This record gives sequence, C-alpha cells and structure tokens, in this order.
Amino acid sequence: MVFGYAGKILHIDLTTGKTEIETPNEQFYRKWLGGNGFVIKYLYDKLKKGTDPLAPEAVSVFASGPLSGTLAHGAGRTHFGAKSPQTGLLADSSAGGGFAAMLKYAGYDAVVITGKAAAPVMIVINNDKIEIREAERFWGLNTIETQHRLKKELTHEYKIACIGPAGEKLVPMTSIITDTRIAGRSGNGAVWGSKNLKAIAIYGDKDVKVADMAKVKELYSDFAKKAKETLGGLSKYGTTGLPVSINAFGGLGTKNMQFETFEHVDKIGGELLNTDHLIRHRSCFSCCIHCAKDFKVNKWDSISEGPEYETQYSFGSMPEVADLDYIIAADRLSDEYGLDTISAGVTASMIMELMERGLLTEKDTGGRTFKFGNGEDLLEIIKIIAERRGEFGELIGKGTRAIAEKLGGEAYKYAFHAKGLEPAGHSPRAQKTMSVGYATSPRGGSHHDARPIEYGLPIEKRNTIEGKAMNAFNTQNWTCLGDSLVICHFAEKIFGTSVAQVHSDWINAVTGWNTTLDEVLLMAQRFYTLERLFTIRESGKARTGDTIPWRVLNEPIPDGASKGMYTPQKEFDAMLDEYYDLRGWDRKGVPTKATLKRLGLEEYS
Amino acid sequence: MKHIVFDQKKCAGCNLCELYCSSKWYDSFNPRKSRIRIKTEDYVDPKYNVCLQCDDAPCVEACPTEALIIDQDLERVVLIEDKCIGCKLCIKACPYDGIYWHSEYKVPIKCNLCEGDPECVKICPKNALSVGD
Repeated sequence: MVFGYAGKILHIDLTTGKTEIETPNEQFYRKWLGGNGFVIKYLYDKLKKGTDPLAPEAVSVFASGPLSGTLAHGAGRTHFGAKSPQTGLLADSSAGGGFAAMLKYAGYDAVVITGKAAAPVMIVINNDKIEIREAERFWGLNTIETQHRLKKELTHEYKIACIGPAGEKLVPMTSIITDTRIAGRSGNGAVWGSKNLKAIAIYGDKDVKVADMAKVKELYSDFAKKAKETLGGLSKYGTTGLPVSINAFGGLGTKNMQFETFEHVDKIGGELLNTDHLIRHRSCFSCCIHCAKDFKVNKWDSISEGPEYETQYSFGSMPEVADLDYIIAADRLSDEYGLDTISAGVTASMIMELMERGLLTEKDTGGRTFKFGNGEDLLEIIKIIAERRGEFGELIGKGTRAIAEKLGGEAYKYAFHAKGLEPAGHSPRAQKTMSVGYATSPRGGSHHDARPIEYGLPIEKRNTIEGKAMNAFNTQNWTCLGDSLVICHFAEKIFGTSVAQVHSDWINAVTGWNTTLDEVLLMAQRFYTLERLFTIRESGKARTGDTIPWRVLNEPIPDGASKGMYTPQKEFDAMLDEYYDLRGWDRKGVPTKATLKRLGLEEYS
Repeated sequence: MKHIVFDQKKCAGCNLCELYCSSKWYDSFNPRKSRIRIKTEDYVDPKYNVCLQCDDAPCVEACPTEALIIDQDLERVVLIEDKCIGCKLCIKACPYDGIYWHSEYKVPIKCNLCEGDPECVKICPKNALSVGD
C-alpha cells in the first residue's frame, strides 16, 4: 500500500454496466500523482483521437490526489475532466466541497467512466459496493433538488455530484455540481448528460493513512496559523471584495471589455454583500478559511452560495448589471441549471454588445432585445442557454466563438475567448501574464492555469513583457500541481504562486516518499506537456491555436489606472517564443523529443 | 456534566474536528471514526452530534455489562472497553445520536473529551466548539 492513496482506480462502462478495479503500482502513483495528473493520463490514453466529446466512447474522469481526505487545505476538492464539448480540447475543472475526500474514504483514487447508459442512471458507491441505478425520476430536476432528494433516499452521509437540466440537454457550457461547489468550466456537465449520467453518490468509511502523522499535523498547523494571520479578508468577504480593488487597479472587465472600470462597482460586491445579503460563511471540506458565503436576494425569496468574484465580473460588470439581487439570482439560477457562470455571463455581454451595434437583431434572437444593465435580460439569456431554446439558444450555449463564427463579419472583434473558452475576470490587457497565460492554457480562458499575479504592481512594471512568460510558466506549473494534489489554489496566498518546497514536504509527509522540489516540478511540467500533446492531437494546432481575443491585441484600455495597456501582436509573439523556450517546446509550440524524454513522456513521442 | 458545546452560527462546516478526532484516536483520517460528527447541508446551518455526557445517561442505563459508567470525579460518561461486549444497545439508547459504530472495532466510538483536553475544541478554526454545561 502507498500511504495517502486508496490504491484503486474504478473503471465504469455505462453501456455494459460493467465495473473494473485497477490497482496501480507505486511507480504509477509517483509518476502521475493524482487529480490533474490522473485526468490527463487517462484522457490521453483512453480517449481515441478525434472522438466526439458527446459520443458514448468519450471518457469522463474524476480524481482525488494524495492529499485528498487529509488535513491539507481544501483536501476535499475534486478534479473532473473530459474532452470539452465547448472547446473540443481539454475540459478539466476543479470543484470545492468534499466529494473527492469521500471517494478516497470509499476506497478509490479516481473513477474513469466510458459508454452510455440506455436510460438515465446514477452511480451509487458505498465502499466496495458499486451500483448503477435507474435515475429517471431525477432527470429534469435542478442540481439542488436532485441532491436533496438523493440524500433523503440514501442518507445525508453520502456526497453527491450531479448535473442539472442544462447538462441533460447537452448544452456545451455546463458544469458538474457537488453540494453548492462547482466544476464550472468547459462542459463536463454535458459529457455526463451525453452518457445519461445524472449523478454519482458516494459513501465511504475507510481510512486515509499517512506516512508521518506528526509531520502532517505540523504542516497543517503552520498553514492554519499563517492563514489566520494573513487571510482574514478571504474569511470575511471570500473573493467578493475583489471587484472594488480590481476596478481601482484598472482591470475589471466591463461592458464586454469595452472598458476596464465600472462606475457602479460598489453595487456589485464588497461591503454591500456582507451588510445587506450575507446569511452565513461556508467552508469546503478540510479548510480553515471558509471563503464561501450564502447570500440572499432581498427583492424576492432566494438564496445562493455565491456569487464569488468571477461571477460578479461575468454577471455584474461585464453585462453592467449593477444590482446584487439580480447577480445573486443569476448565480443561483445557473447553479440550479448546472451552467458555467463565467461563460454564460461573458456570452450574455457579447450578445448585448452585438445588439447595441446592430450586428445581432431581433430576427436572430426570436424577437427579443437584450440590453446592457438589464438584470431581467441577463436572467432571460441564462434561461435560453440552459433550456436550449430554439436555434438562438442552441447557438449561444456554445459560447462567444460560435456566435462570432455564425454571424461572421465584425462579430469576432467582440468575442472574448481563448481557444473557445471565455476568460475569467483577470484582464489580459492589464496583466500581460494573463495574455500569454490564457493563450497557452490547454483550457483556454481559465484563471486556474496561469494566475493573475500582477495585482499591486505599478503600470510601468506591467506594461512590459519582461518576466511575463516566466510568470505564466511558473504559475501554470503551480496550479497544475495543486490540481493534482488536489488542494485549493488559495493556499498560494501563503506559499506563493510557484511550486515550492512545501508542496514536496506535504507529498513526502503523506506518502513517505522522498521527493525533491525538482521531482515535483517535473511532475507539473509532465502533466502540462501531456495536456499540450492532447491539445495538439485534438485540434491539429499548436502555436496557431494559442491566441487571445481581438480586443486584447488591438484595443488599448480606454479608462482607469491601466489606461493605454494592451498586448500588440509583436509583444504577444515575443512572449510566446519565450514561453515555448521555457517549456522546452519548439517555436511552433510543439514539445521537442528531448523535452518528452526529460519529462518521462517518451512513450508519447 | 461538562461536554462539547457547539455554536451553530459560528461553524462553517469544514469538518476539521472530525479529521483531528479520528487522527488522534485511530491514527487515520476517517470522519466515520470521529467521535464528533458535523452534518453540513446546503443553505442551512450545520448541525452536530457528539456524546453530551448526560447526567442521567440513557446509554449507561442501557449497557448490560456496566461498560459505560458515570465517573463523578472525571465528570464524564466513561467507556470501559474491556467490559464492552459490542451489543450496540448504547447507540440505540442515545437520544442525541452521539455514539457511533465502525465495523473495524468491537467497541463503540464515543467522545471522552480527550480525557479533559478536547482536540476538536483546540483546532476549530471558527471557535465554534467549546467545553461547557
């Protein structure tokens, strides 16, 4: 037995209903680590090149990591992955909560799902007992109701992950939800929907044993002490204070990126949420920070866990909805449907701009006008996407890239996406790290590959490409490792945004291995480079696929503290060159043979 | 008698108390071996279950072998493991769902206040747990 791991990977074929247990050896665990590492390993190996993301043959994976179920910060997090129905590339997305910890307590490190059930099913795992049960009666129910009813049926001790009606309808920008935590990005929900898989419920009462309990406790105590000293703001506000500070920084995407400051920013978050809307603080499993909050709508009766910063941006400043009641309601509605709030909000904002510019008309929308600043319009767009209403709903559920392709002409200028995924609320114009970061992310516009680490820097330091490729390289390695352990990225506020000795210390204390910082860094690069090979295999593109939105390349920020900033093509190209060199990829963006060898990926060359 | 007291309004539902409890008494991370249980549900405050060290403990009444006794000096309901036959009657008798069973053991899982210095109280990041009447 390897300490920290359950020692088993569960394979389920929903077509045949057969399950199989794989018991990998220690070398496998030390090479692929967990979470993100497992996800890309199984996706690359099991999904055949060119498979339709929604075909029965497509593969859906979710995984815990060596630290799951222990005292590590956020050690209940789950890493989900598939081929994305939205981007056609990698769709891996992480959710908080405690689902993966329970998976480990049930005796499994990861689950690999293939096939398609003939009718709606759910997978019920109770330790060694694995059942595929009919779930017709849950089909059509929203994610909150599904979990409530399932827990009533199975007992509240189960942890559940499920999809909502939008995932059932195969809307590309759909999520998987567990408790009220969400694996939001790039369409894992639709992949479950395509397999007729409504939910997975897990209960386990097995041990997670660690090699050095005293060391694990020491590492946790050190983290908890530092968290208490430095993360009081996160505990009190979560990320909801960010709109105000990011607005002052001049990087708050507003009116579909026409601006980067929002005049009504005080109405979309910060103090007002805590004074007028806060009900309670919420924590993920094994986390002392409790950044999540339940907020209430005041104008009518509704509660949502969230919004958090990204949603304040996507449902607040981007569509200019300066009304927290609507933002909270839109957040809840998206959670119920199982919709990605970032992609939905950015897409809604693009629709509003296109209508304003006359590039999209009532003829296209089925007779409806959508305007910036209108909360009802935002809610309506969410419903149209989630219910896949008509031709318009079918189109916009695919996101901004698909809308631009359909409309042609100038529309592409207003499509804010990288690789078909709408970026989170960390401006690639105000932070060049995010220009090269979003462009090279295997997921596209994800803020959990490269991290926005230029907040607080004066404009002179930001308005240069110096060090930005390195920032992206370092932070991507860290997030890739964090998603493999699997822990919460907010730990970076204490341990920094690069892979550090402390990560190796945690791995060693839990597993009993003697990893060094170099070995751990190599793991992160191995997973990231295999993700790159997956991207190239599925898209046929390397450098030519590493792009950023037109506005970022062509339109300087017109307002605020980052006024004048953008990333001209020349700068962008220079950062890409530097980035590829750091990764050991050639200037076309393809990993070299020597790099594959260095990373232990010879079998993939 | 003194027991673990829970402030529902402070608890954020991190379950760290369960992890510390199981690691202290069973040398593993396993919430199902924890002597304290936190129940978290969406959109409602968390709830807790633990032995409340009752003055007129129904578990003591129910125990056929006097394996559970009220120790007046320690001010606790004490489980004498050698005397326990694993009949689980105490679990059934407890009106607070404060005693648990795990298939690996032959005796129940019950809070003894860590013999006076409860681990869960010390590590609760929200100070939601305390020892009180």
